[in-house]
Amino acid sequence: MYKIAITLILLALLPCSGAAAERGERRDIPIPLQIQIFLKIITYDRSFDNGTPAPYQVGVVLRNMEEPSDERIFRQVSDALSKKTILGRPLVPVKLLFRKGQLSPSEPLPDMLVLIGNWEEDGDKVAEFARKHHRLTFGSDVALLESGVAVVMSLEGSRPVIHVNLTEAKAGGADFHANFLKHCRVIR
Amino acid sequence: MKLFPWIHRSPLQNQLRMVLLLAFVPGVLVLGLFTVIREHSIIRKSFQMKAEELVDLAAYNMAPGVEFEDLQALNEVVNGLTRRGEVSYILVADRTGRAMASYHPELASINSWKTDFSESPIESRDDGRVLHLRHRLSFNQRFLGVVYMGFTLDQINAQLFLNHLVVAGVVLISLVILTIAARRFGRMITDPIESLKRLAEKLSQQNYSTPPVTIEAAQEIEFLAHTFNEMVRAIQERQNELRILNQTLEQKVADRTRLLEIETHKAQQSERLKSEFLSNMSHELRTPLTSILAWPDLILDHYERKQDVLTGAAQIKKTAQHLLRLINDLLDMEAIDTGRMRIEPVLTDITPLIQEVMQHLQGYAISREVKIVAKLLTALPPIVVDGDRLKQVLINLLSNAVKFSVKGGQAELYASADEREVCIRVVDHGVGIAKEDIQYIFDRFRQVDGSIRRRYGGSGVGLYLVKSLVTIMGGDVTVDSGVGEGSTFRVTFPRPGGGIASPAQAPAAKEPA
Repeated sequence: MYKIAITLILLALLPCSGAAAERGERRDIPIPLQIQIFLKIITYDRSFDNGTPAPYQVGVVLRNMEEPSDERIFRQVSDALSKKTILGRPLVPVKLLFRKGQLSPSEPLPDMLVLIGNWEEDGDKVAEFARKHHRLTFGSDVALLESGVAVVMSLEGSRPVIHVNLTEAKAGGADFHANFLKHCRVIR
Repeated sequence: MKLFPWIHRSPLQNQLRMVLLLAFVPGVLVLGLFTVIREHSIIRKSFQMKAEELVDLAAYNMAPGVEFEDLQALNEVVNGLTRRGEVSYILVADRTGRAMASYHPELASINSWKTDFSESPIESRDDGRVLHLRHRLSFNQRFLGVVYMGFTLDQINAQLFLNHLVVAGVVLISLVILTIAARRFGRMITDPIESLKRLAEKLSQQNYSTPPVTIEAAQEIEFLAHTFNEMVRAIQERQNELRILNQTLEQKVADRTRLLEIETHKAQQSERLKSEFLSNMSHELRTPLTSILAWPDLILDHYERKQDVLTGAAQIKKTAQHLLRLINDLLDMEAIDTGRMRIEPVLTDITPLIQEVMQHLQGYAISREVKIVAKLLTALPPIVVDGDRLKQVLINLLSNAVKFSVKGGQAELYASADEREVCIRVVDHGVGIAKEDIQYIFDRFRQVDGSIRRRYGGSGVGLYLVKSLVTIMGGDVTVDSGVGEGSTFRVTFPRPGGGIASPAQAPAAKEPA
């Protein structure tokens, strides 16, 4: 239960931390906070293997590494994961490049995929990839739910909402606890 | 009308005990029963509330599991519930009736529930052994399914049974204490009454020496005991008074009896004396009559001898006079006895009277060869007497003195006076009178010794007349005598108005004639 409480606290902090909101722009949740919440959500996945000391790889899907924005995103994710563990497993950020309409697979494949930024057009491709490789996908745009991203975080006014596409989550190998799901907006 | 006659006839202590028990035992029993029922109700209701809270919480936690078909989450909740000993079965079914999680589902008799749900999300029924609960599962106000849970009542029944045993024990102990208290209370009231009853029984058996009862009880009973003790004390005092009175009465009866015996003896003696008197008097009368009758024959035979005729006539006269004196004495005695004795007391100079008496008896004294000696105060004061009766008294005393004096002896008469009275003493030196007989010599018909009467003669009336006449005239007569010592009769009369001469001033006595 304490995990749920912490998650809810983090979600409550979301409206306060968005600089864009202050400027009246489209409000995105800060990347470090997104990463922290995603990591917490992972803990509600009963399929999470916490019996191995192997690092848990967080795959950050990027379009072009040369672009400063992508570089900045990756750096922020790396900073957020730095020196952190999840259920005893160290966290390792991994870059996944999306080029020419598809992801270039890496070896080994990361344990989860994070979509940061605007992926309305290509989100379905990433979701299909993740479904194919039984990987859980996280995004920060509600439109991604339609694309097949499993877990999406958004703001409704000042209220943070976690959306779970249960079918996709199960397809991605996740087994979320019902007590977590009852606090989320679940679609099937 | 008496509802329970046997209660009315039972002892007071039992009645009090009965009243106390009837007053309190139903209350204790009702209180015990009320406690049992209330405990039963409270514990069962409390248990049901806890069970319903538990089912409600379980339903809240199960609903997401059913909603998201998270069987593992459901089983976690079910497993968590089964760790509680009172849960006998759990069955979680979705809206189609499909079982999603369960624990001993065979115990859940689902068919016994109504098909329709009530407005309340939770329903219950109780078969005495198991409390059956049914709770609707809903999520976001959507009906998801039903959870059935059963709670065994064995533990609660055991606890209730234990509680009932405790209450029964308390009631039993209360009844025992109540019984003991009723007994003690009953005795506290009846013991003093019992003491009073025992005291009353002793009194009814006339045992009045019983000590007073000491009672420490209620004020009314103490007052009753005090009153009872006062009554006993009064009875004891009355008994003592009666005993003393009885003793006095017995003493009086004894005294009266003794007096009666004495009087009877006196009467008998008087009767005997009377008989003797009659016999004696007959003899006294017949002797002179015989003499009187004999002298005429002697005179007729010797009428030619004048001297003999004169002597005979003189003897007849003398004997007749003696007879007349006897008859006069009898008449006087009868007059005294009947209160018809008439005396005429006047102031009398007794000196000439005494001289007349001496002259009267001179012849008799000579015939008896006795000398009469008189010593009189020269100036005897006059006294108030009947002269004839005083003369009769002195003749009687002096003739007796002559009669009982020996031949050649002398009879003495002394007359003296002091400031208060005049005293005449008649003294002889004859046979005297025994001391024990002195008290009888003035009795009527009395002559103390029959041999004396036979020897000296006499009717036995003389001293009685002396005593009676002197007393009637206001004087007194006493005697001082002893056997062989002679006798001294002392006649006294009070002087009217005090003395007139003292013995020292009186002239010497002279011897009359």
